[in-house]
Amino acid sequence: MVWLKRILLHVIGVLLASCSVTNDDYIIKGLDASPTLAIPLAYGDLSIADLISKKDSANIKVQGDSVVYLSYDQFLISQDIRNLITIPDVGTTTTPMAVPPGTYPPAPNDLTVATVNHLVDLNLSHEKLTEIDFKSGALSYAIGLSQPNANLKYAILISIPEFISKVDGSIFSQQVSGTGTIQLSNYVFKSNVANKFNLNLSVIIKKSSSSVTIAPGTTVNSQISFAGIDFTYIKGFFGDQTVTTKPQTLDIHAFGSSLLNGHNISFAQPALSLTVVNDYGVPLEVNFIKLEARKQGNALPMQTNPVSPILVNQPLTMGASANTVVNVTNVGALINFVPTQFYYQATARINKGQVSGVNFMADTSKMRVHMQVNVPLYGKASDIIMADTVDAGFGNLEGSKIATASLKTNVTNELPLDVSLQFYFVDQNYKVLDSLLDSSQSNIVKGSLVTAAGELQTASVNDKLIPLDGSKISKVFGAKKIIIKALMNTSKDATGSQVDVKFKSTYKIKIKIGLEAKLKIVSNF
Amino acid sequence: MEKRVFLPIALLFVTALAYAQSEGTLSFMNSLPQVSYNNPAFVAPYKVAVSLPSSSMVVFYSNNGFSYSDLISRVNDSTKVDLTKFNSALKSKNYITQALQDDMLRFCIKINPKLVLTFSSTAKTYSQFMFPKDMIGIFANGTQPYIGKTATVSPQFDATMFIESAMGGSYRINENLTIGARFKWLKGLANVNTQNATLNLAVDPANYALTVNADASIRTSGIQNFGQSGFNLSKSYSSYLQNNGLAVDLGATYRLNKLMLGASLIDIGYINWRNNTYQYSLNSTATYTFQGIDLGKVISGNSDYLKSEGDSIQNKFKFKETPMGSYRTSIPGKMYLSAMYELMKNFTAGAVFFSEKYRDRISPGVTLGVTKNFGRWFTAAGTYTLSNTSANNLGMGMSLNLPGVQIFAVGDNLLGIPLSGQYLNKYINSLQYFNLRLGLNLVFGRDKNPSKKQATDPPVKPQEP
Repeated sequence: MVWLKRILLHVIGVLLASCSVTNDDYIIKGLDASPTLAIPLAYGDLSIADLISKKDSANIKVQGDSVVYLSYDQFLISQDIRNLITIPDVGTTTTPMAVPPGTYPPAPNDLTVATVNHLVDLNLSHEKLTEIDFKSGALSYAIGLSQPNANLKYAILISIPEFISKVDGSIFSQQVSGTGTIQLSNYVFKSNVANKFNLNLSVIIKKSSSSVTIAPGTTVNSQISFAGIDFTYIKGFFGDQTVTTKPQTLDIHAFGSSLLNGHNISFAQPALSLTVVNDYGVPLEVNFIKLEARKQGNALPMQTNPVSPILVNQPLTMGASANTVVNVTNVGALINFVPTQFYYQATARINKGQVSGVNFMADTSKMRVHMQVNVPLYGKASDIIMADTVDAGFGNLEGSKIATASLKTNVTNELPLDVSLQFYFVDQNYKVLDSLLDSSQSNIVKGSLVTAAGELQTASVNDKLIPLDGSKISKVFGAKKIIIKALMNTSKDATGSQVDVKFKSTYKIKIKIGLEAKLKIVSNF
Repeated sequence: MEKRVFLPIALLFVTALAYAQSEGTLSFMNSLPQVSYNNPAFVAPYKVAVSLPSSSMVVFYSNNGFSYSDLISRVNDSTKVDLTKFNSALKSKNYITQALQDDMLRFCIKINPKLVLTFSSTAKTYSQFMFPKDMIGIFANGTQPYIGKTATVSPQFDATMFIESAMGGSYRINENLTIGARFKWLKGLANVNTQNATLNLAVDPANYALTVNADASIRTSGIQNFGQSGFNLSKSYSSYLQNNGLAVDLGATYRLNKLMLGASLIDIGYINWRNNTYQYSLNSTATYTFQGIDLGKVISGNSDYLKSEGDSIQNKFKFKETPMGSYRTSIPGKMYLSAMYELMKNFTAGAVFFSEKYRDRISPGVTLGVTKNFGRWFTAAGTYTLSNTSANNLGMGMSLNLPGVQIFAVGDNLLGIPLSGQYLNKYINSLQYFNLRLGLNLVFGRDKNPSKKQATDPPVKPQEP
């Protein structure tokens, strides 16, 4: 057992001696790892309605056969013709009326002592109005004596036979004294002599229980004026007048402002109708100075039948409207032009060449151009380019931390639309640093296979892992913005020819995009 | 004979999953009164043995998954965390177990040659943290390896702190058979118990959509108080004594000439937790799939939806704290099977198979060793503990008997320290299993008549120095 004792003593000795450590192993200077992340980037279950600008969401409709169509229905309203006619104020009519002098005994009744009649002209330059329904307007008066006489009680009776009460059909007749105004909104002007009415004034000495003495040379002075006259409707002859309407627009957002030039689009069954709706009971000729489809500084004139100027129909009775259909003969060209706006400006001429006539209009009368655009998404297109710019926003990430990366795309597409995507990385001056994909990689979305009638035959399925070039990845992180550019073409048939294809509401594109990236994490503490 | 005994034990051990939280070497230290912790039928050769407060303690550490050297790499004379290396070293479930026991008071008296009584009070803490390999794998290798699969990343944590008051004894029925038992009254102080924890991450092969599915229920006792303002432990101390429990140790030894066989069940018991009990749970439907940016929402101009989505996730995966009634947990139970053979006078060789069971996890191990008594003053043991994850556990035990005082140190993986060379780094860096019991006993009346064999005596025949 001596050997065992020796071993034991040795072990105890070493055990006591081995009590130190070096810190090197326990001072952590950093962390190394190279994980490969597989993360989702985006997904969506989108229909064609989702891809159309949301500004036009109210204009997206579905036909009975499920084909999606864009429908724009707008009245471009003008009241410029109504505004042609304004009724000027009628200046003050001053009338001194002599009161016979003498002593008047007490009298149980009023006594008319003087009468004066004026024919007042409304002073309209073009119009010859025989009927005016006053919407507003006031008769103002100021009555006074030439010599003060406290005992004399008097008044002026104002009578206008052409002003008929709307309430009881009586003529305008009111006794007034002192100063004041009388509202005319309860009266209608009706006159056999256009623009003119009679203003009859009578001096009345009021009944009295005592006698009154009037000195010689005593007169009652009246001042009458009319102001603020507007109409609910007017009748008569409005004259030969022309007005230029304000420009009107119909905005079309569906095709998007990002739709660049170079596309080739053909819609199979577009429709555009133009109807002029006229409330004015007056011969009206509309001359379209501008009537065109517009986009990004380009314009395409709208061709009509009948050609402009167009004599539009007029209603036979007040409150009715008359429609005049204007056929557009170049609808296909206009819609295939993929406009962002329809624009028109017109002049309207009433009573062209006429010197008399019976016209009418209400203050609510309008001339409306009803424009209706229906564009079924049925057709073919190629080289449609859409682009959008987003901030890169990679923050403090460094490109060197990504060793390799691949884009995972899983797309099931029922839409008859091929989409090639490219991501351009640009600096703050929009100088392109690089693009993410090469030409063989960019065709990410394959269009569905369609029948000869352009309907869905087979959805395309595209499940790809697209390796990304390492040198390109490093440039991604120097980018300030990313321009996403999509080049789209409608599907071709089995022979490779483009056919008219239908975009139905039931067709979906299911997109799933992920990223696989091997990181190099070298972190030093 | 030896082959027939050791082979089945070795085979059983090789199939084991993890280290046990037990002390193999202690069974060889028959000179220590603490040997009865492994088997209450074991009796140390003293008439009286006393451990004063905090004069004897033991620490445990085991890690079935990795050692520190698996976590780091030396790069250009610098130490760096190497996640790839770390991940490759891990097992599917990695358990890190730590325990600490402190003998607050221990008293052992031999009433007569057949009967020995022991009284003790011990403070014990035990914690077990489990994390799955996938939890590190997600960071080390990313989500790519999990495409089309599900990563299980939910950790699990259990911890218990309690005071054990025990009374027991051993009784020698005849020359060959000795039985022992110890009855324990437990006072739980604090507990964290993970009933269930699920956190799964699935990666969709179509676009790598990430689906997180979570479910968890964690019970605690005596923990929530500490997060409350105004809580004063000294004023609430009494409520921490409401958690009662019971446990029992049972054991027996049987002598066959020079061979002593032993078997025991230790810490078979439970604690009822009643004080400050709270449940922390997740909504069982806490599921969320992130598929990337929703193109539909972005196209429709709803670019703020990600923020509201974030709020929704936060609410969905928020732990809900709920007061709850009492609950019961078991304490880690252990089993020891031992065989000691007296090769020559005062020199014994043997083997100990031990296994610990905590909840559904069984952690077995085996220790082979020899013991040599150098007279009455010094006893030494050398052991080798084997597991399927490590084969470098050389243990040792030493006790030095001075008049009335016994100083000791025992551990299953101590010999690696002197073998590691000038510095302990190599030893520490490869450490996956460690326990150390050390302390001081007051011992009186050592047996002088070796013929009066006690339960632990067979391999021990103390001789005069």
